[in-house]
Amino acid sequence: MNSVRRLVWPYLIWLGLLIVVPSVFIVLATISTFHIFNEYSFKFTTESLQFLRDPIFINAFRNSWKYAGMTTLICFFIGYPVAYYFARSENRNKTLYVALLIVPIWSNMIVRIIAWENIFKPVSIINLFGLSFDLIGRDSAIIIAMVSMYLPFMIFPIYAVLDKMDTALIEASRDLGASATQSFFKVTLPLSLGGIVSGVIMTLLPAMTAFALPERIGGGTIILLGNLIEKEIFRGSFSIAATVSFVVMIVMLGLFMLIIRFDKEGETLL
Amino acid sequence: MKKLIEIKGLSKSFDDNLVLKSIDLYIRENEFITLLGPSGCGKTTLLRVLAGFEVADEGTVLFDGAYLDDTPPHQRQINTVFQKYALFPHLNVYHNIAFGLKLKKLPKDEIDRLVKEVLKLVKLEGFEHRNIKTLSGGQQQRVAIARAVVNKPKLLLLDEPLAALDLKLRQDMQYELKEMQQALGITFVFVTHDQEEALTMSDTVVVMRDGEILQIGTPEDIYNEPKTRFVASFIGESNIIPGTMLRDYRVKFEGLEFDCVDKGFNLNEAIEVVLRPEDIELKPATDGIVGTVTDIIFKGVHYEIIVDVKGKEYIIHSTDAQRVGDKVSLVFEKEDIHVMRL
Amino acid sequence: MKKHLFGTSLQISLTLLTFFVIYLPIAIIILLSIHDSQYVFTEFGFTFRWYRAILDDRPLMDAIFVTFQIAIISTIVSTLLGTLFAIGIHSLRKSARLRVMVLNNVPVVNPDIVTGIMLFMIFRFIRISFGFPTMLLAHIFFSIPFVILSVLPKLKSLDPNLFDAALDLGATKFKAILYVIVPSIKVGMIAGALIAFTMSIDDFIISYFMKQGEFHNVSTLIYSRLGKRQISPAVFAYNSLVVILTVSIMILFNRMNRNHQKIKGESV
Repeated sequence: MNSVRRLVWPYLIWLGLLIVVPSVFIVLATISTFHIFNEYSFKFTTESLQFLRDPIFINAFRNSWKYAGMTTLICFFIGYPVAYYFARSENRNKTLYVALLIVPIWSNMIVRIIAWENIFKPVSIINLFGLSFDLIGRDSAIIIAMVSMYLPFMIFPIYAVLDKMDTALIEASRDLGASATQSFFKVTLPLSLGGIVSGVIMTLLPAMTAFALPERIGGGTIILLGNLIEKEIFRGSFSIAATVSFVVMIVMLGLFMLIIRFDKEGETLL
Repeated sequence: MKKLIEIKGLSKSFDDNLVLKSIDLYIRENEFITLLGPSGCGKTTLLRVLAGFEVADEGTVLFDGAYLDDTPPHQRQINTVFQKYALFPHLNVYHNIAFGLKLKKLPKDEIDRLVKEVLKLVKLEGFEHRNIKTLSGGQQQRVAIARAVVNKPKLLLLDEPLAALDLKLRQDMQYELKEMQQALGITFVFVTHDQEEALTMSDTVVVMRDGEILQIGTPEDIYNEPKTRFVASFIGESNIIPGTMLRDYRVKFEGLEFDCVDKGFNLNEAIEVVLRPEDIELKPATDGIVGTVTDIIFKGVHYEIIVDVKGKEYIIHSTDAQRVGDKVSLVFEKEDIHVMRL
Repeated sequence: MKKHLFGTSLQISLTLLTFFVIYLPIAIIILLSIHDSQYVFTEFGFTFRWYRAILDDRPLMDAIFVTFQIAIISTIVSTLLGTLFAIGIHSLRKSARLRVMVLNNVPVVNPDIVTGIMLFMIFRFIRISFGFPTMLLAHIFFSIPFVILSVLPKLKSLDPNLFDAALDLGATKFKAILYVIVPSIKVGMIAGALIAFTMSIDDFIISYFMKQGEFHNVSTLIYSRLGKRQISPAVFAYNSLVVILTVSIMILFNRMNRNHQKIKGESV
C-alpha cells in the first residue's frame, strides 16, 4: 500500500499548523514580548516567567495538583476494580453496561456541573427527599463532582486493555504455581499498565485544567490553573495566559512521555 | 516457445537492504515457472515487481516485448493469487470473483457466465452466495485462484498460495494447479520455499538466495545436477563430500578414485561431490567406502540409515533394514556422482 | 477456585457506586426538568411546561441548532478525512508511523483549555472570523485524531494484500480504497464517527474559546447564562431529552445486535 503514503502529508501540514505553530507561539509569549494581539514585537524577557513566583499562580498550581491528584487517585481505586469486573464478566449485556458509562457524556457537561451545584447547596431539589447539604466551596464537593465527571475516562482505557488480555495468561500463571493474588500483581497489573497510564492522563489533565467546575462548585473562591488561563486570556493578558499554558504543556509532555513508553501508537487512548 | 516476460538487470533495495541484485530472467509463454528459495531471498519482491506493487530501482521488465515498468498494476494483464488469499471480507464468493470483471464494465450476463465457468474450473459450483468467512482454507484458496484467472490474465502470479493449507490438501492442490495451468494455457509464476512443491509442479525452477539467482533448470536438472552446495542441500537431502577432480571423468574422494560423468574442470581442481541418499546402496563390507551403521530410523516408505565413515556421517535411504553396528560398504553408480565447483 | 483479588462483592459495590455517582447528576437534571418551581423545593409539583418552554426559548433553539449543525458537519468531515489519513498512516513503515502517531495523539491528550488557547491563537493569527467557521474547524480538529485511533486498528487487522489485490484486479487506487478498504473498516469508521459526534455535542471548553458575541452552542450558552443567573429549566428539559434518547437508542441497538448475533449463530 506504499502508493497511498501521500495521504499523510496534508495531515502533517494540518497538525503542524494547528499544533506546532501555536505551541511555538506559547513558548515565544512566555519568554519574550511576543504578542499576537497587537504588534509582533520580539524581545527576550523574563517578565512573564516572574508570574510563576506570584502567590496567585503558586496557589492555583497547588490547588490543581491537590484536587486533580485526589480525583485521579479515587478514580483509579474505584475505576480499576470496575474495569476488571466488566472485563471478566460473562454477562451478555456487558457491552451495554459499558456503553451506559458513556451516556452521561452526552448530557451537557455544564448542565451536570449545575446538577452538582444543586446537590451541594442548601436550598435545592434534593430538599424534596428531606436532604440538604451546604458544601459549596468545600474540597469534598469539588472532588466528588470531579470524580463523577472523570471516572468514565479512567474506566474505559483500563477496561479496553483488560478485555483484550488473554485469560490463558492468568491460567498459565496459576499453572506455574502463582496464587490468584500473585497472578494479579505479576501478570494482570503489569499488562494493564498501558491502560492505567492512559486513564490517569485522561483524568488528571482535564481535572487540573477544569475551570467551570471549580468556579461553580468552589463558589468562586477556589482557583485552579484552568481558571487562571481563562481569566487572563479574556482579560487580554495574553502573555500570562500563555505562561500558565506553558506550565500545563510541560506537565502534559511529561505524562505524554509515559504514554509513549507503554503504548506507542496510543491504542489505549480511545 | 516465445518469451512472455524478460527481466533485465533488475535491482531493488529497501532501506539500504539490497533484496534483488541485478536479476536476469526470462519466462516463456505457457510455462510453469517456480521461484524457489528460503524466506528473505527476494522471490516475493520479484513477484511484486512483476505485478507492479513495487517499483524496481534499476533494470527493466519486458512483457510481450513491450516495456512494463511504467504501467500501473491495475492496467497489467497480470493477476496475482496472494499468500493469505486477500479475499475481500465484505463480499461473497460471487462478488469477489466478479470484482475485476465489474471494473471492466462487462455486461451482467457475461459476468454471470464467466463466474459460473470459473467456479466449475475450481470445483466450487453452487458456492456463489457463500460468505467468505464460512469457507475452509482450501475453499478460500480456490476462490482466490478463481478471482484471478477469471480475468484471463496472460500471466498468473502465485505467492506461496499453498503455504496455509495442511499437507494432504496441499498435495491435492499441487496436481490441480498443474492441471489448471495446462487447461487454461496461462503462464504461471509460482513462489515457494517448499522444494517438493517446486519439483512436483514446475516446468522450470529458479533457485534464489540473497537476491540472486543461483540456478535455473528443469526440476530434474536442479535435483540431479545442483551447481552449488546451497542448491544441493536446499533441494532434497544430500551427502556433500570434499574431493578432487583428477581429470575429465575421474574424481577422487574419501581417499579413493571413481569414474564419473563430469568434465571440463581443471586438472586436480578441488570440488565437492553430492551423493543423494537414495542413490547409495549398502552391501556387506568389502572394499570401497566402508563404514559402520550408527542409527536407523523407519520413515514409512524407506529406512533412513546413518553410516559413520571415518568420523563422517552419511545418510542413506534404503528399503532394506540394517542393524546398528553392522560394517557396510557404500556402493553407487558413476551417474550418481554429482560434482560441484566450490 | 473462583476467588478474585478484590472480591466479587467489592467489585459489584464499586460498580454500583460508579453508576450512582455518574448518573446522580443526570437524575437531578431530569427531576429539575419536571419540577414546576424554579425556586421552591418544599413540595414536588409535576409539570411538562419546561419541555414546552424549549420551543419558546429562541436563543436556546438557536444554540441547539448550532450544536447539531456543527456536530453533524464536523462528524462527516472528520470521519472522511480521518479515514483517508489513517489509510496513509497505515501505509507508512513502522518508525515513521510511530512518529506521526505521537503527533496525532497530542490533541487527544492535550487538555481542552490548552487546545482552546492554541486554536484561539492560530485562528486569530491567520484572521479567520470567530464564530461558526472557527468552531467548526476546531471541532473537526479535535475529532480527526479519534477517528484515526479507531480506524487504524481495523486497518491493521486487514490482510496486508487486500489493497494490492484490488489493484491487481484492475481497480485504480481511488476505487480500491472505496470498494475494498472502506467496506472492510466500516466498523472502525462508524465507531470513530460516533466518538466524533459525542465529543462535538459535549464540548464546552474549546467551543468557549471560539465564541463570538451572541453566537453560541448549547454549552457556551448555558455557561453565559450561568454568569447572568438566568438559567431556565428549559435547558434541563432539553438535556433530559437528549439523555433519554441516547439511552433508548443504545438499548435498542443492543437488542438488535443480540438478535442479529443469534440469527448469525444459527446459520453457521
